[in-house]
Amino acid sequence: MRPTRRRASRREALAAYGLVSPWLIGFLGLTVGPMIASLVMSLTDYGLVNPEATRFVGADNYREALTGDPLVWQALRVTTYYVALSVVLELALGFGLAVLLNVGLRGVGVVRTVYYLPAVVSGVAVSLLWLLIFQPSSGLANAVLEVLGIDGVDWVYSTTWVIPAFVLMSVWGVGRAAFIYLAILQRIPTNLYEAAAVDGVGSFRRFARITLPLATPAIFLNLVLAVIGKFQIFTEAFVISEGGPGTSSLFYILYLYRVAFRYFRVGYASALAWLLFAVLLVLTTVAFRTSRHWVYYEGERR
Amino acid sequence: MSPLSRRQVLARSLLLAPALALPNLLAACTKTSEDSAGTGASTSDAKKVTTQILVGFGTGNAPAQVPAQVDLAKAFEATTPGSSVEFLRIPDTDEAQRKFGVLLASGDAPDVVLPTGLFGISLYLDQNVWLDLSALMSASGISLDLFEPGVRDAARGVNYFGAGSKKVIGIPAGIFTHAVAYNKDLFAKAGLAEPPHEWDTPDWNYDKLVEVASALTLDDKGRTPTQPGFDPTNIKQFGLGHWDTGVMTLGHGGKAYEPGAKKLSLDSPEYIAGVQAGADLVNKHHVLASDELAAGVAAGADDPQLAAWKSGKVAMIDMCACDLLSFGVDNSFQWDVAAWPRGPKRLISHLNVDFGSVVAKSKGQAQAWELLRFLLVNPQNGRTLSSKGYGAMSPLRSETGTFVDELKGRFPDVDLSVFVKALPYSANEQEVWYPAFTEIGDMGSQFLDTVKQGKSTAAEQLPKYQEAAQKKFDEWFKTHTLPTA
Repeated sequence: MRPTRRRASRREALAAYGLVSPWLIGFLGLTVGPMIASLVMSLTDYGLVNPEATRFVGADNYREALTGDPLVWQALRVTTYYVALSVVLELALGFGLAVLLNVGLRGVGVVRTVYYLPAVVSGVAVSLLWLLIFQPSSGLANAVLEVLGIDGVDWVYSTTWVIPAFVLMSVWGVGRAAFIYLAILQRIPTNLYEAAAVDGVGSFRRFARITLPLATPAIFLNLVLAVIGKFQIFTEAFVISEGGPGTSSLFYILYLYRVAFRYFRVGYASALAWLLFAVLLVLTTVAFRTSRHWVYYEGERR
Repeated sequence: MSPLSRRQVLARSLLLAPALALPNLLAACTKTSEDSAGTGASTSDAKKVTTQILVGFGTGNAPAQVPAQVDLAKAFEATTPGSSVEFLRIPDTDEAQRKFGVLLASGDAPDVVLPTGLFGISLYLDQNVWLDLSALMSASGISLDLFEPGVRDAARGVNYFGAGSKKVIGIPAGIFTHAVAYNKDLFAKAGLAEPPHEWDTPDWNYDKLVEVASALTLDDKGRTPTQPGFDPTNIKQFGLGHWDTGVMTLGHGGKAYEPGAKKLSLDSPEYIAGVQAGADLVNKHHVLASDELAAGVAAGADDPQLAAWKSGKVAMIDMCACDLLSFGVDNSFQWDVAAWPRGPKRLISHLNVDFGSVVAKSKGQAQAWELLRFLLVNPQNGRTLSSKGYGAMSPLRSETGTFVDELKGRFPDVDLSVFVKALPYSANEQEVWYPAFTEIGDMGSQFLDTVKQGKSTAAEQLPKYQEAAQKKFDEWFKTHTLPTA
């Protein structure tokens, strides 16, 4: 390469870096920087109120979280229970909804918009709405059950029903997953269905042998996003139950928040955040490792 | 001018991009102007010393309360050349506490927190957040003897600093006693005598309270809880609502913490009896509207207890003097206040105390102290601020009685003297500091929620609470020492 062209190429590279610098500066300053800071803090007893008294405590915070704080395990249990139920429900209902939305019916555009609305509505407003729905004596949920001849339950005021109530609430946001499914469903070539129909394949087998396998990349994406997102449930619990009754809805992030902003133990809260990061890393790695056995990409040979 | 080539556009953008990014970064790292809403006091004059007051740890943010605070702040500015006062208002208490923590951490703490309840004082007591005002008070010739006896120990933080300590971490700013507010119309309709206005009236005790409340509780068919066929799942009118069952624990002789003993007593027979009695009001006697039940009779409201009272479907409530401007106004029925009933061991009613405290990290401590002195120690200002600024009784001994005069125009048919006469029977034992204050307090719901719901008993849960809390308590002592130790 001639020197003038090399110089021009370098200038162009510099210009490109310059153009991405707003994002880059923000990413380094507002994401990577705080992450490193929180990692350092997790090794100290950094307190929000008196940071000047901070001492290096090594792995004490991690040790306390894993062996000396029963609420960490309770929070993990509660969160895992919620994640398991809500992820399965979101994947199944989201997929079902996408299949329905994929049918070219009149007015389906309006329905799609309606289903996506929850994604743009404030979490606090939605939580307050659900709180009214779950009121034992005056809420809509028990009124519907009564019409069906079923005795109402105490929903968010019950240690048994509070997590199922949050799971039902999570269905509210299923439209987001449905849209990812919908995008991939609309890319499935129609000639595959036509060929199957010519061969006399029934609609259920067409769904099981064509639609489902070709939708697995979207299922995989939704699975990973849902697990990461559901583990971080906070707003609903903060507004509706504050972790109660007792600790039956003490979700992990809610407890982390409490440690940082009620007990002012930012060092310990940072350790809790990194432990959650480790849990999510393991789960995501497992998902990626197993994906080669059940996720199919168009044109891929096995 | 010739058009720019693609390369020239890139090169010029290179210069422009960081310039665009920089303001965003600076905006993210800089305190917003919204943080200092309030009087609009200017801080642009470099010669002025600005004292910032955080209002958010309790009362003080209702629109009707703001003008009195602003007027007194302006009066201070007028009498103190070179001073300015700025209000940082955060209406939600939890949000105020969160923001206060962040401001402390960022080195941008307000100078004064006013008012702050004893709970707010206790949250930060062992973290050296509050400035010890004793030296400034001595230099000004001011003593805590100016204030009601019931607030002095709280101002000195005796549980932490020790009974013999001379430290003072807050100047009393307002006191709120409690009384039983009752719906006169419901009492008349039921043909019941109204509860006594005099404190310590014989036979006005917890048993009598349950008896009266029971006669005022009705299901959808108009049956009371003592009548056959009463349906506890369909109560349309409650004898009690918005009730402080914690005080009933004290009335049974329960005491959570003995200063100096380094031991909690959450499993004492008295404490267990008190907690169970509170839960029984809901689950056994069916006379008290819990928040869920209150929501049932007054659906769709932000504060179901307030809505239930205002709907005329609750006969008696625990009314703090601080509730007068919410529970006491715009009612469509006649109401009045009576004394709290006596418990099996004590006659005790809850006392809310508000303080003005200087933040130890304040860079303008001297002026902050002068401001507190102007607002809270000067009798006329103290009376005005407590009554008009916070809806409270003045904690100054010389001014306590003026509470009735200040409010009787607003509540001509209410026997406000009940609140003043409550003072000898009122104490704040539920909010005083003890080690691991917040964590042990939060832990309570883990054990007590099922008791409140009637799914478990206090005798089952409180020993477990005691064990868990004592463990946390002991851990605190491993890493902390009391100043007196």
